[in-house]
Amino acid sequence: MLDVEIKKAHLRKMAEYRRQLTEKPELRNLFLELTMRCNERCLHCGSSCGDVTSEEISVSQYKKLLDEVKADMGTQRKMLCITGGEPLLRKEFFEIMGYANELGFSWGMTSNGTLIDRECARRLKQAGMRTISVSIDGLEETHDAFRQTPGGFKKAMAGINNLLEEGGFKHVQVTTVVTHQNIGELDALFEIFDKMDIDSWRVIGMEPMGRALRHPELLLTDEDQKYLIEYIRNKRVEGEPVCYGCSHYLGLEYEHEVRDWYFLCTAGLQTASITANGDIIACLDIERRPEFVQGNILKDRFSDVWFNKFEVFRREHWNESGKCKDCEHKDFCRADSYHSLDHNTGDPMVCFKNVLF
Amino acid sequence: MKKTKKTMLTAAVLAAAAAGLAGCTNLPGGEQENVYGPPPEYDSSVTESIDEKNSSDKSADDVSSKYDPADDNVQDVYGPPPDDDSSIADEDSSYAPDTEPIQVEYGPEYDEDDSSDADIDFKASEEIQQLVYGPPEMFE
Repeated sequence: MLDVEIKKAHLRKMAEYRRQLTEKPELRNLFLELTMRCNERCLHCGSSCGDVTSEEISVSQYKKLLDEVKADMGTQRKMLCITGGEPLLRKEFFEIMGYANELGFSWGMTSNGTLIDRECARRLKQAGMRTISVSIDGLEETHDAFRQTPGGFKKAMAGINNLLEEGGFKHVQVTTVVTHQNIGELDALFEIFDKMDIDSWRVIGMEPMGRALRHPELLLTDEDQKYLIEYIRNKRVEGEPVCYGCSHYLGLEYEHEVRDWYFLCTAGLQTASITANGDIIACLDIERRPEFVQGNILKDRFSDVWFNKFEVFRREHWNESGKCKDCEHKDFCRADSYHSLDHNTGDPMVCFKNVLF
Repeated sequence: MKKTKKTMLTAAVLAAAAAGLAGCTNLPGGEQENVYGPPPEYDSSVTESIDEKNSSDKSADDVSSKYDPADDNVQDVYGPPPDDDSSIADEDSSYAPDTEPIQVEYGPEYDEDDSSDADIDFKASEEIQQLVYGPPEMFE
């Protein structure tokens, strides 16, 4: 473990930085949820995507949004994060992203990979995609069952290989959502990914949100959580490009050891999102409540909303949590990630106290 | 998977920190060899206010003064890996700028007559979903 006193000093700096962001937020990630449609039906989908009705804003509306963001905020030091549903289901995908590229935006995307043939990979590179994260949620049988897509694993792996053969992307990543069911497959998955020329493997626990709430049997136990974190750290000690996600305060022992940064929920501070119907929200993982919708690009200018709204995310909400009130870690944890808060009580639904620290 | 200077450096730092720790605790999944043993004895209290200075440990201050949270690239759970080049600074930022221009290629030409300006309302289809890529038989 790295020096705990140094970590405490850094976490105090991070807490002060967060406070500064509440006064002067800095947009660094702008998520564009191009569609709620998806050709898979993942059991853990936070947005309950699938063969669903999806109000979708038009290409010209996206262009107007991008023009305004560039004019008001510039393109530097920020990244467009394209997601869905499955964003490649949007038939205007390349028109939208080609325009973003021409304006000078850096962009990356998440995808289930099933639609990425060689031609698609070529067009993604041509449209300026720099980074991508493709989901693989277990060995073949587990992945297909979890995502309710027969043949999905093979198609996703083919998609990854098409990207790698095309080459020229800044970062090709695989993301695995770990559940109580697939946690035993980590070693086998590592063996597969180790033979591929991917840039990193992100390993995250299933979050209690969206469709996942219908499958509590898949949620990780405390023992699973500890095993997962130790697994990642051990891989990193071996020099492997494996990392945890951005969520959750991990305590002094594990902070900055399973990922290259200290915990900071950036919702509303550095991260904003445009939902498929144009609503302006903070993070797409946060429960879609009316009070969290800050505006809509069909009637609001994004920068006006970013600089003048989002108050609900730019306050010390952890002081309102009964659970966190007397916790000695609250200045570092800050009631953990916003998307895993119980917004009725203000308490975190995920807390690793007495699990990891 | 690609091992880079960054991953090797991380490994070296973590391994150096682990040196000297004894034993292993069996974890679920068992056969895994753990580098880290039982939790070390350390003062895990974090009750100091974030406004307090850690004046008793000069080395911690020295190291902490080099750490700038603004440089952390927090990777979103939901999103793609950050593009490090996107941290090119604006003129008034204290972040050291990377002046190398991003080389981009433009995609297919726009069809000026494309009447895609109309609001599009999608409804759940009872037929096979319209796919951008891949023949329909991919999903049979």
